Amino acid sequence: MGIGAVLSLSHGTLSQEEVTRQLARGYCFQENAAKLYYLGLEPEEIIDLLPLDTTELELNFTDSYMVRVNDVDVEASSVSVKIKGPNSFTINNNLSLNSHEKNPGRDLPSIEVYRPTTRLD
Amino acid sequence: MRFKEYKDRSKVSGATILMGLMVMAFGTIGLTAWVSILSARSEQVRNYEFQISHRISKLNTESIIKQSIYDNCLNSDKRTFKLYRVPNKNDVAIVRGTNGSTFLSKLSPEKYLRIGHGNGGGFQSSVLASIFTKRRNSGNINLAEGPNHFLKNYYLRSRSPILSGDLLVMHKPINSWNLNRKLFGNIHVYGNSMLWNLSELKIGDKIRTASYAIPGISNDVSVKPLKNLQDEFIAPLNFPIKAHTTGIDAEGSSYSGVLDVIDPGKSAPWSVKSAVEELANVRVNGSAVYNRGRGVMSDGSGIVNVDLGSPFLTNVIIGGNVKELHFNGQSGFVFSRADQLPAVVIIMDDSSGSSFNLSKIYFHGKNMRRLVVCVKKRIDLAMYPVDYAFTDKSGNTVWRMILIAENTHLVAVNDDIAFGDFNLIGGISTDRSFEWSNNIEKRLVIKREASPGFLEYLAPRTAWLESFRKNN
Repeated sequence: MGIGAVLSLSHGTLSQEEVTRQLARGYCFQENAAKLYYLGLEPEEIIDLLPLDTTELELNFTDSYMVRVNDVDVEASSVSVKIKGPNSFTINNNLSLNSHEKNPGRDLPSIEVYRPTTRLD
Repeated sequence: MRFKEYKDRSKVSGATILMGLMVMAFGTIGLTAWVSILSARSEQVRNYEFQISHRISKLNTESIIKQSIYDNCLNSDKRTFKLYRVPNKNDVAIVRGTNGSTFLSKLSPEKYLRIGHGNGGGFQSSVLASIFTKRRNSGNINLAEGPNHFLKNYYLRSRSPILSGDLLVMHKPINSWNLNRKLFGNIHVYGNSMLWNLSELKIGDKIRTASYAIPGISNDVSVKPLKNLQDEFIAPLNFPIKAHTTGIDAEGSSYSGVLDVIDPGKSAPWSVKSAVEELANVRVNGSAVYNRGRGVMSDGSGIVNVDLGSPFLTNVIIGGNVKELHFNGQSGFVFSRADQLPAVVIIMDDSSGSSFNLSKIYFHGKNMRRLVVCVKKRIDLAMYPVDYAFTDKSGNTVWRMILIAENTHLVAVNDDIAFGDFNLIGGISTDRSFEWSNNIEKRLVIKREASPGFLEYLAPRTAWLESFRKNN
């Protein structure tokens, strides 16, 4: 019983740490993607540039749009990150598929980032 | 002996129990610490969301400030005070602009920044900005969380790109029709070449440059690499390039690489003509006789001569009706002292109308006087090339000049050019063709102006933005 409790506790804490790690990576990628957008890179370039593990995370940008603030217009986009569901306990492809269907993952709150429209043509 | 020791069994049992209790106690402490660490880690990661939100809010506010400075301060000579409230947030930005355009600024930076286009000098005006950000997870200001009010200094800096090292700048034409633009000839650039709109520019095989950059290059532009001065192919210096401008044009963006600095009209602060009008100058027209001992002569039939050795020469604005423009350098003693003559700007602008078509520009002799030559042709005459030549036959001619050519195809007259090196100290900036002889024994060498002096004020500038955190 004691061994079972220890194993259960260990699994729980390790799972929590894994989720925490994924969250930290997700926030990190989201912030870096937002900063690269601010610096003038295009969304496709940013997705290509960042070392994303696509089995774990999904990074998306909305199409750029203009935001009017008083007398200026800035270009904006929303950066979203989706942390995909766990697949560590899948055994085969079918189970893995089922597991994803049951656990679609978690969306981090999207970030709206602005950039000045003064880039070179 | 063994039996005797066995008689102390109660002591051994007590020690074992004590050891077991200690293991349990330490285990409990360790487990508690582990759970505490995990809990703290979770809390830390949860707070990332607020931290990122805060940092991006600040970034967004800075974007608004930069856009405001580009829109309201860069090209304006009016003092600005703007307040911006970020949509759907409680963040606020305040921009306090100066009342002097950076293109007209005569204030040199207190501390030179040895980076970027302003390497070595230039001018600046400053804009102070305040950023107030509101944290999502705290209603009140908590000093332990760091400041939520930032002061930043934005410096609008300006300097002639030619003086900064862009010795050959091929700009985009303002009008987008196919102009068959060429950069051609045995030209050696001992500095950087800036090549805008490269896909519509034909470049000759004998162009050599220490480095080059292609602003705005994208994947769908096929680039033919250039060779350096050692005759090796080199890659362009393309990243990073600051956004910069020579001033807005009537139709497009400030940052699209067009050249409209000689007489952009609309009281634009980057207008060379407006700047010269505020200095000592003489006005000449090719259709009127002018010879008043000021170093410039017009015969009234479209031929204008400029004597760069004359101590009485000031800035000259030639208002069109010019067929031929002759620049006469110095010789002998005057050449060796020409460095001490005041720098001058010679503007030939027939964009408002002209009876003649400018067809020849000749540079006779050699010149050591600091000189800016601005030539702007009427747009409907821009298709006709202008022949030019350096006529000195000494074999190692020195000509000190910054040449700005708008709507002007400059094509060298091979027969009028002697064999040897022609050393142009300064640079060339044009939005049309620039063609030189392809003869290997007739080399045009473009070198950087090492001692610009008053040229810093006279040469048309480019402007860009730098920002610094204000610490006090």
